[in-house]
Amino acid sequence: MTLHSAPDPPSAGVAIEAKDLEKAFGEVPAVRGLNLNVRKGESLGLLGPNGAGKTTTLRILSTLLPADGGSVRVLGLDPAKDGRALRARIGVVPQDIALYAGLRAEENLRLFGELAGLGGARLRERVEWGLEAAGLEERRRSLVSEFSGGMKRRLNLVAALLHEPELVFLDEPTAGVDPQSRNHLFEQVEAIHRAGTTLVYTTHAMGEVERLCGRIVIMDRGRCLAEGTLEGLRGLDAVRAGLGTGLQMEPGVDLEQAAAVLREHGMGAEVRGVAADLESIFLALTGRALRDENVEDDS
Amino acid sequence: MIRTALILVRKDLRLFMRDRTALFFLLVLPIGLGAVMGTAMGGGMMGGGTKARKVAIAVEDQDQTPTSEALVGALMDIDDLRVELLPDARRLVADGDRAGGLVIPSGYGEALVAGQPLPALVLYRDPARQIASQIMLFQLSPVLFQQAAKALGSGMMDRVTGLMGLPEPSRGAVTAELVGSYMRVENLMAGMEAEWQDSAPPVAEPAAGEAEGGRAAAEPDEAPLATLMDALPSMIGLEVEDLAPPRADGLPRSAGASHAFAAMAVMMLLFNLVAFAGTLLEERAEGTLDRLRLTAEAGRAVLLGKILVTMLLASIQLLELFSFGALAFQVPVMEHLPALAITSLTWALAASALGLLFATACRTRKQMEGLSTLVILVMSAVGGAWFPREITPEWMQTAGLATPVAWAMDAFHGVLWYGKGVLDTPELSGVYPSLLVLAAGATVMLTVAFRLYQRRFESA
Repeated sequence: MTLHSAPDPPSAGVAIEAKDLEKAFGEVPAVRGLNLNVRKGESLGLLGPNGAGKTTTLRILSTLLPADGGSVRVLGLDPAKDGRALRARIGVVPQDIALYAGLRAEENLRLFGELAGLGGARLRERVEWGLEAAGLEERRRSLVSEFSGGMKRRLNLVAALLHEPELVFLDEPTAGVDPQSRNHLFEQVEAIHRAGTTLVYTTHAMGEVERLCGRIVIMDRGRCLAEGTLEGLRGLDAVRAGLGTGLQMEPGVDLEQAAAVLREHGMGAEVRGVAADLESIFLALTGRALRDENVEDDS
Repeated sequence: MIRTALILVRKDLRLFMRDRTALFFLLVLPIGLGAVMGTAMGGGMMGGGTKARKVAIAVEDQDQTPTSEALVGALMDIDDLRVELLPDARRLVADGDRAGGLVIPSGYGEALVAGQPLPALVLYRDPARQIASQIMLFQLSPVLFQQAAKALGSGMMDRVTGLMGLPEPSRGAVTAELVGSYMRVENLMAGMEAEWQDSAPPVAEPAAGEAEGGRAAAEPDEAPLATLMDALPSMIGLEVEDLAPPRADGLPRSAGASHAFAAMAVMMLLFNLVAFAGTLLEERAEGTLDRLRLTAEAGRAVLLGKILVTMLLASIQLLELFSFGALAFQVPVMEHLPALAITSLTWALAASALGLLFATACRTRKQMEGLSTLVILVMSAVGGAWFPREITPEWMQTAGLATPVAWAMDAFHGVLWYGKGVLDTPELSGVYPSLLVLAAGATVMLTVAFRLYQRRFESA
């Protein structure tokens, strides 16, 4: 059962609509009856521990993997049947640095731009945009193998955006980079979101989701555990119960009055209001047990 | 210091023992190749010998008499020769279909019965098969000696008894004496034969390049045998003609160079194209393959792109190889350029298909490297890229036909040595049968590779 903190989004302007999505690798289920709705222009955070089924879900939605069951529509198209048309409208920033190390930065962008259907002046323009957005104008002729992790990540991001997709899947796009590069990447992602691009963002960096995503889906073991806004998730009973220790109060309670009451009962001298952060919510829902499962390449 | 070194040794051994590919190269590959090479060279495992293939010789009986048929029968009884009664023996040798061809001319039987000088038997040989030629001549000699001796004895008997004008009763004693002489000649020949058997080079231990390598290997103490072998044909009434295919440019044709460059073209292309096809697995591991698949245009073109690149790389490599061969070793590249180009492209297609089959069937690049190295080396050995297939045991010959290497070698050698074109000409058959087999094999391998790609790369 999925915990909802807000009503389902209206069907008009739907970017992604997945119902009862199923996928297994051999006997191991990766996605089990997943329902997912994303509105156009929305930024959805898709969270989950390793092996939750996030990457598998993204692969199905982005045409890389056929689903075993359920129905999927992405931008009104069926990924299994309308792959080519859909790929022209989506972008995927993969978790791996999926660039050709033996090619120069500019050559990589030109390659992926051409394969995305760009050509002529438009291709040149978008390659220039990509180099500038990645902060690599000065290194355009350097081989990717010579780049730092952060430079590769930046190029990895813009390579997926050259054809100005309507919907972008970002699979841990900032993994393993320094704060400067992470900030740069994040600004780029925020910029394309402001421009109206729909985003589906998976990461283990909860702060990024808090900053970027209007709505959050938390998955575990192939299922959707909860979905809603950050505020909405904080209010879920399961989350409140899971938070365990600490005093939980309804929104709007006067903290000074609460502190006075506590002092009368000999408990504590100071009361500070601290909102549960996404990481606490995440742990409350998915538990604290270590996850070492490895379903295919999901993480 | 020593303790630290031992700790590091333990670490390296652990890592090594967990690397299956490294273990494969260390333990399996040498034994696998040793078994193939040993068997090919006529050795048998566990002490059992493996008999080398019989030398194939076509006998054309133009005489068609009981005497010539008796000779054919005697030839067919020779253990180490596979004698077949076929028309146009010369063409078969010129085509490379048989190592030798023996023509029994018309009038042979009549001359033998009449005790007249025999018309010479003609033996056509392929100079590219020197070892086979030596074996052939050596094995034919006793039978042909007997024929020559019979003719000699019969003629002598008639002449001597006639000249002497002996009365009928006396002729019996004279004949007995002559027959006794004949028997002594036969015994002498048998002794010589035994001596040659002892001194003859082993049938299945040739040098890697049979043609000129065989000549070059002749040591001074083998010279008497070589001299004897040279003189032998005239002693047994044999006219030998080596069918070295003529070259339009008048330069000498080198069987060794032709074989070497054919073998290099076949084997090097396989190694390089299979290695290149492995980039598919590399791209999958690095995630770039998924990124290609995610673009609107790439889709299934990914595999087609790989085939086109491998074909291009193959063309470049073959162009370089044959240009070098033509310049440095006078390999007759320009003689049948269209045939060589078509053969090269067909082989490039087959090798590309094999490479893609490996790439789509294996899970990792390392796995593919181990498997493909073994398969390519074994295929090269049994397919004739290392040494002529005809020296290997018959079962290995048959197994060789299951490899694309054998067909590619036949086609390249056909063009470079025999001077064949793609299609048949009045003088020579074409190499198209080999090319058709290669093309069919490529089609099958590509079909399987596409299926595997769909199943293992697009749905997983």
